[in-house]
Amino acid sequence: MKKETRRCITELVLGFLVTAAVTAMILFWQYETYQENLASRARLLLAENPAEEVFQILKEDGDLNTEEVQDILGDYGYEHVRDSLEGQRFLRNCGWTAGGAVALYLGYAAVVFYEKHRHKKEMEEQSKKAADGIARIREGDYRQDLMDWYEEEESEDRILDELDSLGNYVEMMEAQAQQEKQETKTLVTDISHQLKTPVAALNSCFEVLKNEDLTKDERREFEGRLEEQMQSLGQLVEALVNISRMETGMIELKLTEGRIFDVILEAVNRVWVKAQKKEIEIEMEAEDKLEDLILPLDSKWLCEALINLLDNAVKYSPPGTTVTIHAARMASFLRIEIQDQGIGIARENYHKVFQRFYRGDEKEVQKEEGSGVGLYLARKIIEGHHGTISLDGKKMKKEKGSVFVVQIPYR
Amino acid sequence: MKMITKLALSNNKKNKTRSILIMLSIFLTTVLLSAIATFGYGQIKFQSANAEEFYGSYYGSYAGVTEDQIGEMEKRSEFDRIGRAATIGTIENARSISMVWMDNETRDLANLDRQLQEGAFPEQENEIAGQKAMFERIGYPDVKVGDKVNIRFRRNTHETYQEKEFLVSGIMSQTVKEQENQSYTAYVSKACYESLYAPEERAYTIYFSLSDSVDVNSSTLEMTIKDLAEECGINPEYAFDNMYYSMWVLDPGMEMIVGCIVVALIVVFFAVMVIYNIFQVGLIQKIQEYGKIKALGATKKQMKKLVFREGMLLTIISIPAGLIVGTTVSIGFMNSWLSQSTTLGNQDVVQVNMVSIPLLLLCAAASAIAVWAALKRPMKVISRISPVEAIRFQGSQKKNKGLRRGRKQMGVRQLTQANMSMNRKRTITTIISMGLSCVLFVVAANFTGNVSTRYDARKQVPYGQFQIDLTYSKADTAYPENNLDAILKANPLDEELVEQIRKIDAVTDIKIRYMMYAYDQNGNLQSIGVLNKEQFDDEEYQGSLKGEVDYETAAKNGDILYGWSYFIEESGYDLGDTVTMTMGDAGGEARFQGTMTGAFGSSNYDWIITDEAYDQLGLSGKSIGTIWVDCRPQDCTDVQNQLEDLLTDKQHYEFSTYQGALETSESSLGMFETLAYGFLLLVGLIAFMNMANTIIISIITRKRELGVMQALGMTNSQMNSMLRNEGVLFTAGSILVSLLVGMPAGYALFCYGREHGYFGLDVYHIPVIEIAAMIIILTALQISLSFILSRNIKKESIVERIRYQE
Amino acid sequence: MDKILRTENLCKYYGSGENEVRAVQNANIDIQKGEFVAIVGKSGSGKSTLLHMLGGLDTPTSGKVLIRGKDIFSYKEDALAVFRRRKIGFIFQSFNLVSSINVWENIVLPIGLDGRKADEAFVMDIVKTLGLEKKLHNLPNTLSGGQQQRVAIARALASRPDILFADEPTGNLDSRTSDEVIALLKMSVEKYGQTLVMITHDEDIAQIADRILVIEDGKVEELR
Repeated sequence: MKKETRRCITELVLGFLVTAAVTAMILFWQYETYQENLASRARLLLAENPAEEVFQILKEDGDLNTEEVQDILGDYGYEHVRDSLEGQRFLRNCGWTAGGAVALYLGYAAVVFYEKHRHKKEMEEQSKKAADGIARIREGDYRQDLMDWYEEEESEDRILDELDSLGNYVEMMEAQAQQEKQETKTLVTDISHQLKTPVAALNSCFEVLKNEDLTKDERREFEGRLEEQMQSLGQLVEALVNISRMETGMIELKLTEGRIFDVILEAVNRVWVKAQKKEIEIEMEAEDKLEDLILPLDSKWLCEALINLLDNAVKYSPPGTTVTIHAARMASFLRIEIQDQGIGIARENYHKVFQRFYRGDEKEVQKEEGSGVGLYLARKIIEGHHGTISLDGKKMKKEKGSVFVVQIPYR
Repeated sequence: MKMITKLALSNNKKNKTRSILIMLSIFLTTVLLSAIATFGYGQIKFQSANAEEFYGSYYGSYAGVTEDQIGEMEKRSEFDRIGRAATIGTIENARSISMVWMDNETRDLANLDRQLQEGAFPEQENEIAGQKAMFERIGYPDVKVGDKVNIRFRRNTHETYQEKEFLVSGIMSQTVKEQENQSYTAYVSKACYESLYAPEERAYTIYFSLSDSVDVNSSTLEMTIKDLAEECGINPEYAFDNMYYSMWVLDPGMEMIVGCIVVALIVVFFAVMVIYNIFQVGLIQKIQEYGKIKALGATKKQMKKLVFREGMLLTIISIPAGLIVGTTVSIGFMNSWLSQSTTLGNQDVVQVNMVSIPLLLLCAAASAIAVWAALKRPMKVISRISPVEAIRFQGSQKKNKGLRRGRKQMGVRQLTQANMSMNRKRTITTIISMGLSCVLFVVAANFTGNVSTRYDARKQVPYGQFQIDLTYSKADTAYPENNLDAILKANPLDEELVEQIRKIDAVTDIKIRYMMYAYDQNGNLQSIGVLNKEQFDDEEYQGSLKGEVDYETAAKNGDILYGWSYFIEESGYDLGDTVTMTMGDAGGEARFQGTMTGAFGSSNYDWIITDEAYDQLGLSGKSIGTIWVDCRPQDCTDVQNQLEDLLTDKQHYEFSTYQGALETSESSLGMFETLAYGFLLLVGLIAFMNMANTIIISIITRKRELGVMQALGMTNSQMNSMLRNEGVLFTAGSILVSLLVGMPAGYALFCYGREHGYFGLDVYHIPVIEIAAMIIILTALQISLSFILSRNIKKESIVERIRYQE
Repeated sequence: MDKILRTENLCKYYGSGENEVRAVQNANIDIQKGEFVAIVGKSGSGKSTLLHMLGGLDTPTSGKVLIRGKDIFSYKEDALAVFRRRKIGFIFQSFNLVSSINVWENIVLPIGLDGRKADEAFVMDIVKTLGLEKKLHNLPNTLSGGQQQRVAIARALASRPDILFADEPTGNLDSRTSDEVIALLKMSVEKYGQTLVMITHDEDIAQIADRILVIEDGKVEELR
């Protein structure tokens, strides 16, 4: 508001100065004319032959200066401006000019005030709109009516724009809360669905074991199977716990500066034994510089994600093959490729493998144990590192096996 | 071959804007060229046709030729036609009325038959023909063919008058020149001449034309006929050439031709620049397309041909159209000029065919050559590109480091600036080429805008409203009474006349300048102006002075000054030399000796001395050379009538009015202005084409970028303002260039012109109105152009523009 | 969940009669706030047309595009331009950087066009995220394709739009750079809470998206 007033005053002062300057110029010009008139009169007075002098005056400039004129006219008693008709005319003209200037200036001032008033009104209207908007947000109507504002081209009402954003934000928060609830629900459904099968299998094992007609061998076999099932259930539960923690935000990735090389090594070590068993070699290709590369990471969980990927690679590769880890530094991401020579993934399933509880239909997949949680978890973790995970379709088209690409930003 | 023409045609159709621009440029160029050609050609033809009409078609004349000499002439191959004429005598009158006889050949050569109003030229011994006014003078106010008149005449000044009765055989019309001089001629027959002069007394004036085999032009004519005179035994002193005829007919307006050629060259230069620019910029855009054609197997020659045909196809319509429009315009212009032109004041102006087909063909060829010249480089560029290069070609390769300091914040304004500075070379070229054409305008405006008709008129009539001048010759051997010395001895402008003028009521002021005659050491007659301080200073103000020109010193030392600084060599003296001559006027003759200290630019006298130097000569009476009469403007007609009454019986004077001089200079200035501005308008248009092209190209090449910016949220009004700003920058730049270069150049030209006493240049003032008009027109054109362009660009959707890829 | 972008029976036909091309047929799309949606289709499948309509660059033959519940084609032309620069960002296949101004100027241009002052700290953050801090004074044509696309991304992000539309953002890049650019895009979008709609013919790239829509012969279907 203060700024407005200041601008208003500046405008008024500027206007005054301009008007005053113009008026002064006109007055000065009138004065000049008056003086010249007087001078020519004075010349006439001086001349011996006034009729001749008239032509001289018409032809040439008067040579008399102001003092001379005053002297000459003073001799005849025209001492004051008012004394001559010319002077009275001059005064009258000055009066008109000054009056006109004042009127003009007043008009200008009126316009300035009107502008200010209108501006103020506009501002008030806008704040009223904003207030209405805020009230609506409080009442739970987050949507602002954008349309009208954009209609006013180049409108300055960014407040309203911001208000609109605020409304959106509040709405989004509320929606997020809603969504979380919804997600928890589906998670519970999914988990219970996932648990159903192994628990049912366990159950049937128990049913069989309860049967006392079993031979010792049979019993041993079932006990073994029971143990296996218990074990895999344990694993499943562990994975489910991880996922549910992850999903519900109970695990928070704590990104701290760490050497990514150590994490990769740790992951390789963890799957080494399993790979060794299947006579699968794990090769690592990386630039030397990578050993010292430090990036924000949560070593425990990132390791977990890599273990899942490597485990997956080992699991679906035939014995005697190689799993290659290729790490390279890109412009702002670290690119880790994990390539195996296994069964590969059908193109149409690329985007599905990262879905929760997805397992392929192929018999090679079904043969192996798995819950369809590993890749999903890996994806979640890597996304938590602001990275991406995907399959390199172009490489996979040319070569057997699958190529997972993990990209993690290093700055 | 045919394929290439087809391809060229379709290319032209595809680049519609470019084609239209080039066609317009070619059209305008052709209009200019053909207008200039037609104008120049028409002028020359008109002049030569009318020169014959007004000045006759004889090459020259010999006076005082005898029968034998005529026989000698007739033997020579150089002479084509020979006509005889002779002076019989003078008729008794206050005015000079001469009686002459001319044979048919002479009358034809001198084009005299044109003046015959009714009747015929005299055949019989007692027949006479002459102007109505002449008969009026000798007392026969309302004469008709067949009337009898008594005429008192004498053969020469040594004889007494005799009276003879003549029969009027024909009435002649009066020429303007005769009217001014109030001198008349009466024509009589051969029989009359022969009856009055015995065979041994006879001497003829011979009018002749030379045969075509004699190679002469206006500068060699005089020498040639003098040589010929000698060959025939005729005194070369009595040989005169018909200067006007030789100027217009033998030398058909070299100045005009040179002027036209220079202007035409400027036009062609501009046209080449503009068309080249349009083509070049267009090509860079299309280079991929040409690359494709080349990749398909076109040879270098074919590529060249393709570009060439693209250009030439555009000339097919525009050149003929330009020829027609240009010719029509200049014919219309010439006709309106002729009808306006009061200086000729003659109903008998010969209409000439101003259209010359060969010249127009030449213009067409010049336009075509301009296009060809403009195409040369593009042709080379196109023929040289390798297809791979062309397809890869990504607009203009930047040679800079690819860095830009830039600004923290970006807006429409900054974007415009960035664009300008990025394409600095193109921007500057355009601004300069635009600016240069504006420079032409500004320079001419400086010149024309400063021409003051009043000043020019004041040069003719320096004081008052009327000027009465003595007219005299200095070397009239045939009529020595017309020479200055004779005239001054019986000066028609005497003190009595001055007194009479003073008595006229409305006259407010009279100014007088005295003059003298003088014989230099070779006995040649010279005119001397006697100037008082005021006149001296005024003359000094005209500029082009040489040496020391100062009234006080000249008066004190009794110096003499030459009247024409340009021709000071002709005086035979150098600055500082002592000049000795015999000076004289009505008051007698005296020896003068003085130092030539300087020269005036262009005074009306050969020499000038101060009034004080005159007093030292100690002669008894001054001779008036010029009288200036002043009165109030509203009394002019009245005073003029009275003055003319006073002057009726006087000879050897010239009467001019300030108003008349003003009118003349106004009419010729108007002409000059129309011409200059018309030319500049067309040049300006061509230059504007150039600018339009640059802007259009800059928009077309950035179509995609503009589309992207709109996708990023640039509103239409922002885009408009960006384009407008660019245009305004172009305009402002060109205006700046034109003012920076044009104003000093214009001022220099003005000073040069003033120094050399050109047409009405006096006080310099900046031609504000012309420049303002130029700025306004440029801005208006510019604004409408960017408006149209942005409208045009909006026709395409943003998506189309983003996809737009050449 | 908040539907930031929705279409109702969106159609775009070119030509008429026998020559009629149905570039987009009855597309009904729902896009949630904060999502990364990839629209996959072969060339000529109408995906670009769809994206242009979503972004208000092209007008549909029939149907509506609702951004936050408002039909964007009910805006007047200039109002739509203002809307676009405040709420929508574009990334094009051919980068479409303005060649005469440097990287920084390109990035802040949309903000400038909106008559706002760029929040330098914020833009600098984006620039750092995208690894462009050393190239700020370069002119676009001195940069590699990947770098140019980063500039384009930065430009799209700088004005904090609600939705980003990317039209084959990696079309001119090699596959490794593509992967990285997409990763960057995704990371940035997440970081600044924006919604990303990307069209591509490259299914590999689409994997990274939260959701994939497939467009074939103008018909849009969700890939599950």
